[in-house]
Amino acid sequence: MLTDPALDAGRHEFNLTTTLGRVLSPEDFLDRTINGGWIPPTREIFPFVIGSMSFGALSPNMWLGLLQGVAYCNEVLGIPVVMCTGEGGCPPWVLRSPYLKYIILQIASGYFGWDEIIRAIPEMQCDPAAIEIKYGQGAKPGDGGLLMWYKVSKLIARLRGVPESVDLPSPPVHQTLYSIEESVMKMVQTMSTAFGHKVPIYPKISASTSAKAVLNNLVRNPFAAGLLIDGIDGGTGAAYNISMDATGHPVASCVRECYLDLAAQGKQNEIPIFAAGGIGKNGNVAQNGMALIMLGASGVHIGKYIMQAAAGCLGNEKNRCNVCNLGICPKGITSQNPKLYRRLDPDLVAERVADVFMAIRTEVKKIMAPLGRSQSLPIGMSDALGIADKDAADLLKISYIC
Amino acid sequence: MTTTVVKGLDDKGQRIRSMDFEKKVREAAVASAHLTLESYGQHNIGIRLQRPGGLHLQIKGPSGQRLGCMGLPGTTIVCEGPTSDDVGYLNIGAEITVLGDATNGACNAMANGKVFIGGSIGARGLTMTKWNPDYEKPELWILGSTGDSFAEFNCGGTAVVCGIEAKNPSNILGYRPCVGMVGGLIYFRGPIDDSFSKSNARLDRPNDAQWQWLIDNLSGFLRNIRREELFASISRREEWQVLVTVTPQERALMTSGPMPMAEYRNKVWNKAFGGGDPLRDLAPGLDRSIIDAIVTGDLRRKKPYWANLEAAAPCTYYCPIHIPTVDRLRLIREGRLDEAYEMILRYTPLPASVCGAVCPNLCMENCSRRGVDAPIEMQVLGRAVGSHPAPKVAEALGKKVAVIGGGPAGMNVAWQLALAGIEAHIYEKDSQIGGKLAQVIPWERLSQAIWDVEIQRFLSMPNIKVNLNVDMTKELFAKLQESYDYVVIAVGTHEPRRIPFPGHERVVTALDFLKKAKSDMPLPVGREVVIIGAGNVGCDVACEAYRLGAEKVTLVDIQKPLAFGKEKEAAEALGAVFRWPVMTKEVTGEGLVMNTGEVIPAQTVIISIGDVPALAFLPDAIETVSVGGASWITTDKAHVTSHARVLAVGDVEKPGLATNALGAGKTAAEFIVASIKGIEWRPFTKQLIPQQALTITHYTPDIPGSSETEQADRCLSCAACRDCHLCETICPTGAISRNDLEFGSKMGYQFGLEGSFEYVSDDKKCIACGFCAATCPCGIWTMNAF
Repeated sequence: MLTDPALDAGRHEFNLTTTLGRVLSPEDFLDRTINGGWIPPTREIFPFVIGSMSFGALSPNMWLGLLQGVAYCNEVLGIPVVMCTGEGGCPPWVLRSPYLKYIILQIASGYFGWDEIIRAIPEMQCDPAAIEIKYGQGAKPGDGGLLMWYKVSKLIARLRGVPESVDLPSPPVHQTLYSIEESVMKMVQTMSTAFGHKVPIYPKISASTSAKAVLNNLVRNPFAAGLLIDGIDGGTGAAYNISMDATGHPVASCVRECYLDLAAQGKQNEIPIFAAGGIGKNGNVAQNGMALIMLGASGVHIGKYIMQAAAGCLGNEKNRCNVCNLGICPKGITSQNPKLYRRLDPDLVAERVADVFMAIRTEVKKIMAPLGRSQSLPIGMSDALGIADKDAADLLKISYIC
Repeated sequence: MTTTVVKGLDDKGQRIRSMDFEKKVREAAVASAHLTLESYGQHNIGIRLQRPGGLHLQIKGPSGQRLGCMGLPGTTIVCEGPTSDDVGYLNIGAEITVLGDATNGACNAMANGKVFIGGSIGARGLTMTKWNPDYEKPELWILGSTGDSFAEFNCGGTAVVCGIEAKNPSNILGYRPCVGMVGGLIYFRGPIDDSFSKSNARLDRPNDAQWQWLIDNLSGFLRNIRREELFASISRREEWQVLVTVTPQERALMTSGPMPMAEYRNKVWNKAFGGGDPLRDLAPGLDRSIIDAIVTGDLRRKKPYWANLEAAAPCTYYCPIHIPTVDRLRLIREGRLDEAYEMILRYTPLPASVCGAVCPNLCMENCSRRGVDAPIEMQVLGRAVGSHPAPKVAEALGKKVAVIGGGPAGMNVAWQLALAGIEAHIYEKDSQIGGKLAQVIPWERLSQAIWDVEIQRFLSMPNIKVNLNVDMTKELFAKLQESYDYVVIAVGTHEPRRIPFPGHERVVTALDFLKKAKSDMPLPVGREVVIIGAGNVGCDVACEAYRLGAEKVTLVDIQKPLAFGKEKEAAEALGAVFRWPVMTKEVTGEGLVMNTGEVIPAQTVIISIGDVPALAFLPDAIETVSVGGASWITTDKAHVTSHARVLAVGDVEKPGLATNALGAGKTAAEFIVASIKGIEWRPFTKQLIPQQALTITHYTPDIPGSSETEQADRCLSCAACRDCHLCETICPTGAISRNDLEFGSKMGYQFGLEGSFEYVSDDKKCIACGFCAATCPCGIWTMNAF
């Protein structure tokens, strides 16, 4: 790029964070600052988030190992990584620890563990990074979380408030909510209120043709802090094959459509879109993530990549052992049997998480520097993208190159 | 000395282009060693210019960019005023003085030469410099301050920054100097911020050698920039600091990377959860410490279990008498032939006649050896028992039992009771014992020689008393109930079924026909014979008919004939023909008339559609059940009827093979013995060993010999350990060992003939790999969840 010289990815200083939270329009911001008014909470986070994998779907050694790695990234490496809890709640001691600020608490149709969270609110040392309201997940649209009885051990049962060894198929919808629009209105406001309006609240939905409608609802909602769209390539610990393989929507075109819609309204800087669903599944996580950011996402969630890179999951896109749902994971990643999960060293998981994020950080700089950007992510900078498929280029409104 | 002037403006006062100006300067340098350049913002002034003996350029007028770039040794340049960007770019030896400020990029890529700035410079000065060891190090002297990103990737240049009249007095080296600096030295006098690259440069005071160099050369600098008066005030050593390059070796020692994870866990992570494990409230005492993938002891998820004799081999399970053929063959392999024979005779008095002749050998239908080549040849084993003497009976218990009927069922009741020391009195209607085996089964199928020997042995048994030609009546039955401890009904089915179609009086029953055929006075048989009912008995009838002179025998049935096995083969071999479906309308002198009107010609018509019990003697108190139009005595698993002291065994309760009758007889006798002794009776409850548990690939197919020993070698010994040591050998950790036992296993069959050894697995060594279970040929080792 000759007209705009590249920055030095190795030597220049970079600010790689993204904003999670509602950003007011300049007029609103000035008005409220001068006249007093609620400024919605925001967080500056690393744009690659460890996506929701529940305490229950993951073994204790894996889940705590991930959190330890996330804390290390923040406190030792200075990379502000956050991770999401998934549907299974969060151990009470973790809620009362200083690491809560690196955690996005998920509330989903199963509502597991929320009694402990509510109980802990007065004793929290810090606010959680955000609250994620899960309405759907890309791996299995129309289905809720699935934790089979093999994995509902005494520990998991205690945290989730259910009997041991029962199947836990969460309902696909929250049972008191009747339409997605109404869901969003009710829950976002309630969650925001519960945390004193100091925590960003955003919903997570499966990618679909109605994602735009949800987004437009959120734009009108003063409490909504963003939207996470989870595409068909998302992973899961348990799902029916037909849901996994045959239902869903790819994330890139869905995010792009939503972003362009926001841009048409001039709101693209105010409400961040996050993308998930197979990012980095073949190993090129920084490239995938940055492509989605250039299409309009403010950041991405990664799950399958973390399983492989941080824990040594034996599965990849070519083949998998696929026993996660049975709780006999030979690496101890998705098993609740101590004889299996004690094979997994949380320290090693944490180290690999640190390695992953250092590598992503380097690669993101290598992508941003040639664009001449160092202080803000190239969100929506779609002129930096090209694709060798004319139809895809037309759909995504990016350059067709070959 | 002549001075040549080169003007930067043309006659019209227009600026001459840099390209043209440079040509003029170059030409002038050929002619003269001293040039005055009245420049007007031209670029590249003095580019790659030298003259043998030296060249001096005096710049009067605005200087453009890249003054003195690619400067060559021997060339000196003095600029009387500030200069623009990139002064000294790629300088390889010129000495350049700027009497004023320079802007960005000063001395970029300089490798040799000196640049003296009488003011301050802009950003990115002294970057990418080199030091070629064949030449002296390049130098940049600055009176004031530098801009940001100073000395980035500096590889060999020396800089001196004096901090006089600095543009930014609070930070004279700008933001983030020395990023990537790998060589060179920076002297500076004045405050800096803390942003210099710590992995590349180290802050220090000049050492003596460095200080000496500075002092030696400082006056030269000041003279060049015409500020010699400053020497005293800027030569105080305590005011000077240096930034020294950190060598790769030093850097390696300096930064061992970020805090190790273990240190982070101990110092920070563990302390954040109220002083303990974060899961201690949810799961008290949970041990999450790290274990290996391969473990022993309590950390295994499965455990091997040696289930010797706990399941039943197929031969034992499917035999109605549950004869443990596996055990018998083991005794033969161990050379204990007499014990093997005795063992058989404890199960049945008729091994040669039944096992060896008439039984379809249900044991061998499911013999595991079928998976290798062919089942064990039971007939060989059966007949070998032949004339072996009966086992010794136990001490008399002083009890006696009446057995009504001397067929195989009644015989085995009596046999078992006699062995246990109980008197058994048989009451038989016919003039001989043996029931249908004696009366009805053709001699072709059951050799008389074999039969007679076994009957002889039976009748010689102590505790057995036989009463022949006894007609049972209700009164006699009542008397038996009074005088015996138990009564066992074993009358079989000797009442043939008939169908009352027209002409049924002409029809002979199979039972009658076969009985008479075996006697001295067989019934006459026509040339053409029709047999109604094409089961195995019908086949026996056909064979006997052929023997007695028939030439054409037809078996008819209303449904697909049930005949199978040896009986069917024998009948077909003689030429018998099967026809079905055939409904009989009537029987006439011509033969059998079908519903369709067709006549099958026959002089003799025999009906063979089964027999039913004759129960006229039965007291009403004994319950019966009506099935298929006949009454059968109801019994429980122990063959006890509705009356606690009356049992019923054999066809009278349920039609079956002779072997079923023998089995029922044994079970009933065992119940009686247990009741008399006051111990608990248990039926045969062993589960069949699943075929998957065995590993038959250890055996190779062969052509079997016909001796008992050769047959015994072929036995797969299902569910009974064959003491092959394979598990001991294959265990990768040597966890399995063999112990001799003083007493036999409790799981064995009842005669104490089981093997007295065991295999055990050491929990401390076993890694639950499952090799023992996978290799065990007999299916003894199993892996159980743990």
